[in-house]
Parts: sequence; structure tokens; C-alpha cells
Amino acid sequence: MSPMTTNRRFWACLLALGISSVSVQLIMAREIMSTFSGNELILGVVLGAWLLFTGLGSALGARRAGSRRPDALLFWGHLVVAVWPFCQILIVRALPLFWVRGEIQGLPVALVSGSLTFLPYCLTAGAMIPLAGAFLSGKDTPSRVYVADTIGDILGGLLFSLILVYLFPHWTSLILLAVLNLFAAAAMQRGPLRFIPVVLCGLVVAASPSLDTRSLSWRFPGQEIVLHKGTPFGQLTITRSGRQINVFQDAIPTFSTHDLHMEATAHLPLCQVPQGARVLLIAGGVFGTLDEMAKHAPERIDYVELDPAILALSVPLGRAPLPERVRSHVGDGRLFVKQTSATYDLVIVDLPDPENAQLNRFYTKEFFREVKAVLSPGGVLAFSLVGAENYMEETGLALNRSVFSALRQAFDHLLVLPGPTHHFMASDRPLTRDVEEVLASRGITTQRLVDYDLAAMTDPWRIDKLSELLAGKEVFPNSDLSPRAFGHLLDMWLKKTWSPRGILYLVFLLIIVSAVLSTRGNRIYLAIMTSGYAAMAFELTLILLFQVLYGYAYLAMCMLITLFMIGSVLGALGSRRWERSLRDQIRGADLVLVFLAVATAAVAVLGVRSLEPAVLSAIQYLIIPLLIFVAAAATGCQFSAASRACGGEEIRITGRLYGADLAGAACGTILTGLFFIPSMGIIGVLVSIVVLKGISLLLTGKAGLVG
Amino acid sequence: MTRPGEKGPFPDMKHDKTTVSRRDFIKTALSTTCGTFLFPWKAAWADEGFTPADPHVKEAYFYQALGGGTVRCGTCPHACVTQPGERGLCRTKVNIGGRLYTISYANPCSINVDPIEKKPLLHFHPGSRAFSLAVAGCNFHCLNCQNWEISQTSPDRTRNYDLSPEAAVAAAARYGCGTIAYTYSEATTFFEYMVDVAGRAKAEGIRNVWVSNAYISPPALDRLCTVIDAASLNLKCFSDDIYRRLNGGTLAPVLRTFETLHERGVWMEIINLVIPTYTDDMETIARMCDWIVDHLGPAYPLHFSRFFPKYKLTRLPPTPLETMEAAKAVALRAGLQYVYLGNVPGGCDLTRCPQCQTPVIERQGYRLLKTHLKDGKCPSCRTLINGRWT
Repeated sequence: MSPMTTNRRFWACLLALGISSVSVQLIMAREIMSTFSGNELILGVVLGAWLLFTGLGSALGARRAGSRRPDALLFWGHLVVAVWPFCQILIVRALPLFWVRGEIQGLPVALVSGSLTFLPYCLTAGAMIPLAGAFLSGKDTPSRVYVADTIGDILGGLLFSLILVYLFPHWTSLILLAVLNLFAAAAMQRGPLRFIPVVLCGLVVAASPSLDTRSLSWRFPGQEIVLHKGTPFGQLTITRSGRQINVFQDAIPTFSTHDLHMEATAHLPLCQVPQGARVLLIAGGVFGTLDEMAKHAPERIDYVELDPAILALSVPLGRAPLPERVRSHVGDGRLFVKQTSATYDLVIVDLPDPENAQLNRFYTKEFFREVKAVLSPGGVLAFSLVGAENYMEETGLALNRSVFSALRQAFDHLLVLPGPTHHFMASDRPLTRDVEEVLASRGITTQRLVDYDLAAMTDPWRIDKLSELLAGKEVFPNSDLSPRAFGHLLDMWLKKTWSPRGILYLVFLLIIVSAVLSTRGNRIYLAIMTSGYAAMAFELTLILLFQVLYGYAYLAMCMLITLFMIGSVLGALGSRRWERSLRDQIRGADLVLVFLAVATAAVAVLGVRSLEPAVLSAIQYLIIPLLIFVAAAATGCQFSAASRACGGEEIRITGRLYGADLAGAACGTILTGLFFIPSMGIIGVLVSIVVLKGISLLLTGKAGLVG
Repeated sequence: MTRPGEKGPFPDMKHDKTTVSRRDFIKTALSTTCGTFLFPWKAAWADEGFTPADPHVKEAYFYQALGGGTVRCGTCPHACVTQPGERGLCRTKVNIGGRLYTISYANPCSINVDPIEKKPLLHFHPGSRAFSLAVAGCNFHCLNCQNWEISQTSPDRTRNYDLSPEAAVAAAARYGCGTIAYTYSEATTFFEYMVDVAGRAKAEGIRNVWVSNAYISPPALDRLCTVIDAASLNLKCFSDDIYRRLNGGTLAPVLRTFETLHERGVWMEIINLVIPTYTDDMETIARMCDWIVDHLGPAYPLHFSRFFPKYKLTRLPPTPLETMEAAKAVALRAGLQYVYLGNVPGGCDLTRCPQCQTPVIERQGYRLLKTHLKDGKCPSCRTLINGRWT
């Protein structure tokens, strides 16, 4: 083959692979969320397993590289990568059919079934990376593979996040990605025979769309799907059972007609403020809360919803258009609180429990202080948390206590009304328990609240018992940098699903052992593995920090992730042109990562404490992007330098380096998301980076090293 | 790893022969993992330190010694067979030295005062208040349990009150409650405590209400019937298969309980949770209603309860109201005289005379608004309205 042909095949392979693997990973993450309760713990474990298996595939691919022609292997690899994602979706959607209908599943089921489903794809995609390197020759082969693969990842990330997610359902996106891979497969080989399997696969893919609707219905037994829509924030489904309309977010029931929970959400806090109040409502309005709020004749309601698709639901739900006094805003609620110049008599947060780090931001002492700053004197903050009507078990109690403790730091008077949901209200003036009397005096009637729930909610015995319980023990308040509530909710989910904690620890152990094994007792691979960990930990931490300080902005998140990948590419390219010795580059990158961890800790502490707009702006728009970029550039530079520093066959080096890098990244994903952030917070993550990279630095700097 | 003969920028990096080889590492890790799973943890942790001297530990009223320290529990139809140190399915019965003890005695984890309508009991002293107590534990594992925090655990894992039977009866009187309800978790699992409290309460003129899944053994039920006044019982579905899948029990013992209570003259109200795609089949509901009419008569109230996602069954939407109405229509067609819809606003607000349809009791949610009954009869046509009114 001519060098031009091999070069073209190299790029065709890695670009198609990079684009499709990132998109497929994002699609499968969203499908997994829908099948397994939308739980961050499962998502973390499954994504970690994905990275680990891809790393394993890379290591295995390196072994196979010499045995056959790479183009033949890559041809079949592209066919697998084109077709298998459809099987993955079908399996993931079919999984609930194998257990009790409607039951949430625990960690063991999710881990085993998810991992086995992804294994063929991850091993194939991982193995194709070093195999593609066989098209090239020369010492910088691994580095070029890294650059090409990362460019593919960047394109894939942008394609999915900015185009596919808005325009197409998952199945259609997979068809487009399959076509891309079928073209890539065709480009791998010569001769007319190559078209037979490609065309066959193409026909299978073209005939597949009917399976999409059918497999989707497996998630909604006994219901007719009226609307299924992907949004950047998840999957939104509306179903009909009889005349009842049901709304699902990531296949979790969110609202059904004749639900009346919004009565408590609206009336309990509005009875604390005079009629004609100015109210800020964060989320939930279209599900009836606004209608209930209107009964108190508020002067103005600002209603903030993150996902515009939720706002658009008022039409299929048959709700009347928003009244004039309601102004709707699309965006992050916390960002709105930070930026608004208005003051409110009441702020109602109607969000789900802090089931991930993103949602946890609405239950922290920092957020409570921010809300207080926009409240008029004596204004009220209200939100709810998971409760228990008759007995609060330990994990739920810990969650409630950590939020209660945070709330107490911001407000003088707290009132928590008990029930299956605990209704928290806070103000700097005393709050009334006599909600029924206020409702009666305003002539407001309810269908459920007053006649069924209010007596138990406002029963002095129950209120006092709950207050004693919440205040009875000093606990760490839930905070931005240490999201304890999120951790407690994960504990609660483990308990509810009877998932043995041992399984989680076993996952931690396996992932750490795999990472250690991937280093092959070699200090260069150790440096790469720990950098893989550090890169992922930095990415997660800095994005969380950005959300905390700025707010959740979808495009900004995409840009930060893209910036990270661009940093990796530029770091790798820069390494090849940098004249410093390879050892200096490897050690320099370690040193930079240690420094960045310390700097990030300082920025985090400064950011959450500072109220100076200039400082916050500098952190949001300059420092965090810079930290992300430099961290990525350091890891990219180190990867490139390491690839040239290792002796041996280039393809093997590529496979092994990828193996180490991805094993480290898997560790970073799982340990950061599921252990460090929930239990020790952001600072814990950064300390782990300092320790790991410190060890790497010490080992690569041992006596006798000569550049 | 740099191979022998290959030169890189780190020539000193050689494989350290003194370190553990990869093969050894994997072998050791695998052996440790397998050992961890194979180790008999259950046996090692079996002795949980319960002693009969503990005031919250009491010898079970119904069990059979099988020899060799093995016993068979006789409280519920599971009839768990346990070795010393083991517990039954309900987690509250422990084999200590070849005798069966309950660890759920005088240690309730939840105490409240509720309206009797909340149990739900609509034909039993309406408007009265029930001193409600629960000890942790259950002999079912319903996937939709609304009190999973106390039912799917055991009393040694909950924060408990120390409340002797005497103290429980005194507290009920102090709070002005004419009834004590054994509720929230599964009362059968704290059978000994329930029977002792109920016996004392009865002597003091306080009524006793058993809120249960009706999964109890005939001898235990016989004993219970001597002290209770009413029961609010779940007939979760009329299919053995669904009982096994959703609840972990079987249908036949439940039906036997209903028949026994009917024969013994204990007032009962029947609760049936309508879960979409499980228990919303109208043919099955019709069969259930026919069975009730045939075996218990038409006069016991039947409550269809609307399902909401709870505990582990959270992937199903709530039951549509029209399904609830359809179930009610089926029950009325079958001849049942009093059919209510629970978890549906207004679904229990009116009790009508089955003869002339005159409203005889008016409620608003859990609140009694007005009763028009005269000596337990319809004021209009003098038809007897079944229930316990005075």
C-alpha cells in the first residue's frame, strides 16, 4: 500500500472510531440511566467499566497487531462497531423484562448486565486503536494515534452534544454513526468482495427503525407512548394509560394527571407569606404548582426551568398558557439566583432530591446564603426532601440532617413538616404551623392537602419529634465542596435496593487492581495510569466547581469538555516539538498536575467564599477553563513523551499506554464520582491527585535516571 | 516495561525480581476474593448476642422444637425452620439455644395517634382516634411497601421506644384513644407483644385493631381473635403468582384468615391495592369480589386503593382513576354493599345505605363530618348498616 493510502486509512479509521465511540458512549449512558433508575452510582460504575474494558481492548489489540493484516481486522472491527450498538440498546431496554416489572434494580444487576452488554463493543473499539497504529511507522506512532483518536473524540462529542441530541432520537443517531463506520470499513480493504458484508450490515441497519418504537415500549408496560423526546438533559416520555397522561424523565414517573403533590409544594410555603407576594419558583411549575400558587394571588412569579422541553409540556398536558403574572425563564436556577437583581418574599425549590452532584448544589449552605441574599426581610425559602411518614431510617435521616444543618447556618427559624416528603421552610422570622387556618382565611380549598395530609403534617407530636431528630446530632452541613447529602442519598439507594456495599468495594478493588496491573511494574506506565486518573478527576472536579460557582449551562459544559480534549491534542503535539528531554517532559507533567491540584483547591475555597463579582467572573471564565486546558495539555504531553520514551514495538506501546491511561481514567471516574466526592468532597479528590502524582513523581525521579 | 536489550530514556527501570510476579498477584487476589465469598460469614456472625434476659426478648408463643436445637416457627405460614443463632424470614424470631424467641417485644419504633379512618376502617367507631404503634419487621417483602423503612428491617436496627404493654395501654388512655392499632409494619411479626398489649387493653375497655397482610398461622390467629375487635386486612391480589412475585407470600393462607375472622365475628375491612399491569385486571377483580360475597358475605367494606410508585416499584405510573372506578363498578356488580376508593380524593367521603342509597355517613378525607345512623341503621329505610358503631 502506498503511504498516502495507509495514511488515509489511518485517519478514516480513528476519526470514525473516535466520533462513534464517544457518541455511542453518551447514548448508552442515557439509555442506562433510563433502565437503571437514573442513578449516578450506576452511571459511574458502568462508565468506569466501559473505560476499563476499552483499555483492556487496547492491551489485547496490541497483542494481535503482529499476527494478521491490520486492515482486515479493522474492517471487521468497524462492522462490529457499526452494528453492535443496536444490540446494546435492545439488550439494555429489554433487561427490565427479565425481572419483576416496574422494579428498580440494584448495583449487582446493573453492573453485571451493563458490563456484559458493553464488553464486545469496548473490547473491539479498544483493540482498534493500536491496530490503526499499524498503518504508520516510526517512533511517534503512539503519539499520532493519540492525536487522531482524540480529534475523533472531540468531533464525536461536539456532533452528539450540539447536533444529534437536538435533532434525532438515539436510534437514528446510531444509524448515522453506523453509516460512518460502514464507510470506514469499506475504506479499509480493496476488492468487490468487501462490499458484501458492508451491504448486508447496511441492510440490517436500514431495516431496524421499527425495533426502536417496539423496544421503547418495553419500558412503559400497559401504556401508549404519546411522545418520546431526547433533550440534552435526558429522555422525556409522555404516555397515556386510559385517559391518564404520565410524564417520565429518564423512564422515572415524574407526573401523572390527578397527582396532587403540588398542593403541598405550593400552599405550605405560600401560607407563610402574605398574599400578593413576589415568588421565585425553581422547577416543577408546569405540573400544576403554578395553578395552585395562583390561588394566593401572588404579585409576580418568576419561574425558572432548566430544560425548555419541560416548559413545552404544558401543551400536551392540556394546561392553560402561563398567566401574565408568571414570567418563565429557561436556565439554571442557581445561576438565576446569582444573577437576578429582583428580591422575593418566597423562593420555592421544587427539584428532585440531591441524587447527583449537580442537584446537590440546591441543598448546600452556600446556596441557602445566596437565596437569603435575594429574599426580602423575613422572606421564606421552601424545598422538600425525601421523608418518611412513620419512621426515618438512618440513611434518610443522615441526608435530612446534613441539609438541616446547612439550612440552620443561613436562617434563624426553620420549620420541617413531616410526611412521606419532608417540607422544609426557613426564614429569619417565626413560621406558622397553622396552615389550615391561613388557607381557610384566604378561602382556598384543596382536593387532598387539607382533608388528608395536613393533620398529620402539622401534628405537634410529629413535628416536634422530627425537629428533635434533625437537630439531635451535630453533623457536617451539606456544602458545595463537600456534597454529603448526595453521598447519603447514594447510601439510601444502596439500602433500598439491597445492594451489598461489598459489591461497591469489590468494584473499587477490581478497578484499582486493574489499574495497578496496567502499569506492568513500569514507572512510565505508572505515570500514564496516574495521569489518566488525574485527568478524569480534574475534569469531573472542575466541571462540578464550574456548576457550583456559575451554574449548570449545557453549552458551557460542552465547551469545557471540548477544551479538555483540545488541550490533550495540543499537549501531545507540543511534546513532539518541545526540546526538553522526554524524562523532563514526563516529570514536568507530573509536577504540573500536582501544582494544578493545589491551585484548584485554592480556587475552590476562594470561589465558594468570595462574593466579589470580579473574582467570580475571573474564576468562571478564565481560571477554570485555564486549569482544565493546562491539566489536559499536561496529560497529553506526558502521553506523547511516554510513547517515545518506551522501548519496543510501537503498536504494543500504543496498546499498553492506552490500556494504562484508560484503566487510570476508569479509576478516576469511579473513585472520584462514587467515593471521593460524596464522602470527602472536592478537596478529597484533589488530595488524591496530589498523592498519586506525588508517588509517580518520586518514582520517575529516582536516582539513575538520565534523560 | 522496557525489554532486555531495548534502550529507552529510563535504562535503570528493570523488572524487580524481588517483587511479586503478576501471576502470583492475580492468583492471590482471586483466592482472596473467592475466599471472601465462600467464607461462612452467616455462621460466623450468627450469634448476635440476644439473651432471654433482655426485656425486649420473649419466648415465642407458637413454635415447635424439632430436635437437635432446630425449631419451626408457628406464627405465620412461612413456618421458618431455624438452627440456633438463626432468624426467620421476618427477622424478628431468633433461635436461641434451641428455643424460639421474639426480639420484637415492647420496643416499638413508631408511635402516633391517627384517625381510625386512616387505617383504613370506615365502619368501626368513625371519628375515633387510634393509638398506633409498630415494631420493625415483616413476613412479606412487598416491592411497593410504603413503610419499607420499618418493615424491611428488624428491631435491633431501629431506634426504639421502651414501652411495656402496661405503658402502651396507659399511653393510649392518656392520649384519649379508644383504640390501639397495631399497624405500619406487619403486626403479626410482633405477635407476642400485640397479644399482650391487646389483652391488657381489652381489660381496660380499649379496643384493638389489627392492621395486617393476613398472613398468619391458624393457631396464632385463633389466639389473636380472643383479643382483637377489628382488622384492616390486605387482600393484595387474587393471584398466587402475583402474591409470590410482588409480596413473597401465597394466597391460600390469606383467604383462610378472612374466613376465620368472619367465623369468629371479628369486624374486618378488606383492602385491595390496584397496581397497573399487576392487579388491575377486571376479571381477576371480579373473581375476588365473587369470592368475598360467597365466603364472607356482601357486607364487609372493600377498599380499592390507588397505587403510587413506592419503595422498589417505582417504574410504574399511578393507577388511572378510571381503572379505580371500573374496579368499584365490578365490585358493586358482584353484590358488595360498601366499596370505597382509597388514595383518591373523595373516594371514601360517603357511606350510602345499600338499600335506599341514602347517605348515612359523611366524611371529608379522614375527617368525620356527620353520621346519620340511628342504632346502626339507615335513618330512612331502617336497613342495618354493617359495622361496629357503638
